[in-house]
Amino acid sequence: MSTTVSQSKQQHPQNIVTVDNLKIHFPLKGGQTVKAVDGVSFQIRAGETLGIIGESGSGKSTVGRALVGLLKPTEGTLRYGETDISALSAAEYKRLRKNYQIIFQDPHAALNPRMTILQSLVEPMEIQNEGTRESRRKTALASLERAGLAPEIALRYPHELSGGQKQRINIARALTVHPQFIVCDEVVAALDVSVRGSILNLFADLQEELGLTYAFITHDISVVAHVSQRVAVMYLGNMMELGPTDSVIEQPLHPYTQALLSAEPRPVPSDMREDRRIQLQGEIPSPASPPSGCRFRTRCPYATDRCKADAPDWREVAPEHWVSCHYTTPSGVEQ
Amino acid sequence: MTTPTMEMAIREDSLFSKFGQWCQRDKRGAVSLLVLMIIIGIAIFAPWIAPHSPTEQDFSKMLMAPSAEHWLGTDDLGRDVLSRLIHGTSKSVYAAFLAVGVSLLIGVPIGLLAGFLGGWIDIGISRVIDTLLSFPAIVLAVAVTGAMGIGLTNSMISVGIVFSPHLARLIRARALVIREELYVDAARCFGASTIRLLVKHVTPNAIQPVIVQCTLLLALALLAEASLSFLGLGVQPPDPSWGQMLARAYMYMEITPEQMYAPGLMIMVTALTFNTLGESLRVALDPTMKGL
Repeated sequence: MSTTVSQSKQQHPQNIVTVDNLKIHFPLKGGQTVKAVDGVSFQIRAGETLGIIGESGSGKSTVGRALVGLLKPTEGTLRYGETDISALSAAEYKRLRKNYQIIFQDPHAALNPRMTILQSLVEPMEIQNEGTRESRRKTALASLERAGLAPEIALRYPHELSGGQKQRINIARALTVHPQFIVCDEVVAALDVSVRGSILNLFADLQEELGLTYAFITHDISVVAHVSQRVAVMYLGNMMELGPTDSVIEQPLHPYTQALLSAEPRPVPSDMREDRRIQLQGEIPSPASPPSGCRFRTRCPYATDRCKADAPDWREVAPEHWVSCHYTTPSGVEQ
Repeated sequence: MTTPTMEMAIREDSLFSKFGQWCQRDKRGAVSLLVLMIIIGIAIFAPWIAPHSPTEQDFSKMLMAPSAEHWLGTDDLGRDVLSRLIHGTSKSVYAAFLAVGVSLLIGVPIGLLAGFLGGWIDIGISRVIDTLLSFPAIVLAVAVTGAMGIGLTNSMISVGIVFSPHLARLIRARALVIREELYVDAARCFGASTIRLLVKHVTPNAIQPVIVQCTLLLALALLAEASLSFLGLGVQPPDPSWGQMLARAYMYMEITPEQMYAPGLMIMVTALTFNTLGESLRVALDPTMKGL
């Protein structure tokens, strides 16, 4: 019995999060609904970093908030390990959810302005009822040190610190309850370019030391390529492509990913590039009234009547490489 | 890990030294705190301070001008005005704090729940608030006192009830904003309960305008006490209160106009003290205002 379990674990590294057909809809006044996320399925494996990229309004942040239980799925299931979280009692969920944390884009807004840093740092342990007053204080200071800050900062208030320091405090606060999984929602987008690198390195060090799993949400492809093993591409509430970072970046299979990657600036004059920049027509449609069939068809250079009629299946086109497009083959788009 | 010297470096100041620092920083606040202490002292020690009995009538000395024996003169029943003023302090201060305390106790939780929970609860509570606010305050207070029975305590509880929709509406508007803040989401991720979110995150960040409003309401409550006592619903004769003294002096304005000054001045000074103290409290509770 135990051997078969360990064997199956070796074949499929344990999934820390499993998302199945997740839908998150927001009702609007007048009966309309915004389909921010509309049927997304993926797994996040223990120890990996999954990059999630997409433009504004693609639903990537909505997915991130749903992963840590800040938004209730309209439809679909979310499992932590093997546990369906909608089936848990309030007390069980409270104990489990501390393992699943999020770091937000705006480090200042994520800290209560009326609490000292120390108060903010001990709060997660107070909520989870862990340790004594003294031990919580010790853990908080150790965590602060781990995030690269001096303990003297503990008695200050958020407005007295810089953006980079505040983001380190947010990280330290999450670490106080020893999470397994952290959603990083545009964690460096609000920071000065000069401190971005050091914060990204901190995330990498923590992953190596503590075996953390990340979902790294960003619109910055260069960041994703740098930090993640697998990458998911979102467009208008759907997932377009998901695969190992190398193959998605080197050989994108979905027309949207191809366009997205060709828009990334490169240090080569345009005349000397081998490939052409793909210019998308029009704007991203409103998630309140998305196009029929394939979400991307209104801007896709390959779109046909079939794309208008049927939504494409989520297919494993190449090993480990999933694409949602009728015309994708392992070598690219063919019609 | 953390060395002993680090532990030393983050030792917090004692409450006493924090208070000393506050007095240094906010001199106006320290002075108004002192004045409030004096007023409360007068209220507590009234029987020992007052030179005469506040209720003893002397019909041979009615409506007298200030003299060596009666520093502030006598009223229409020959009672010593200064003694009545001193004894009235406790009634007036009690009345003001009771009314504001009741309105805080009712208004703050209701406003917090309406703003934080939203939805149907908010719609229901907000309509009730609007309805209550559409009545003239004093008329409503008279009606509630009529239902509960006359007397200072009952009349000030009704003033508190009448004030509470103002506070509820104020804190609802703040709670509505704060529930969207990221730090509330962050606490939720750690498993915080709704009660904890309300107590630890929403209330401290929403309370600021409420404190300022409370200091205004304290002053208004003093005046409401005067009005209700004037109508015979508040302090019952022969007990003195500032408002009731003011109302009585008003009737004899043409004979002894100076008798209105003393209670009027006490109401003004007390109201002013509450206002400056409220402002100081607001600044002291806001960490971003430190050092300004």
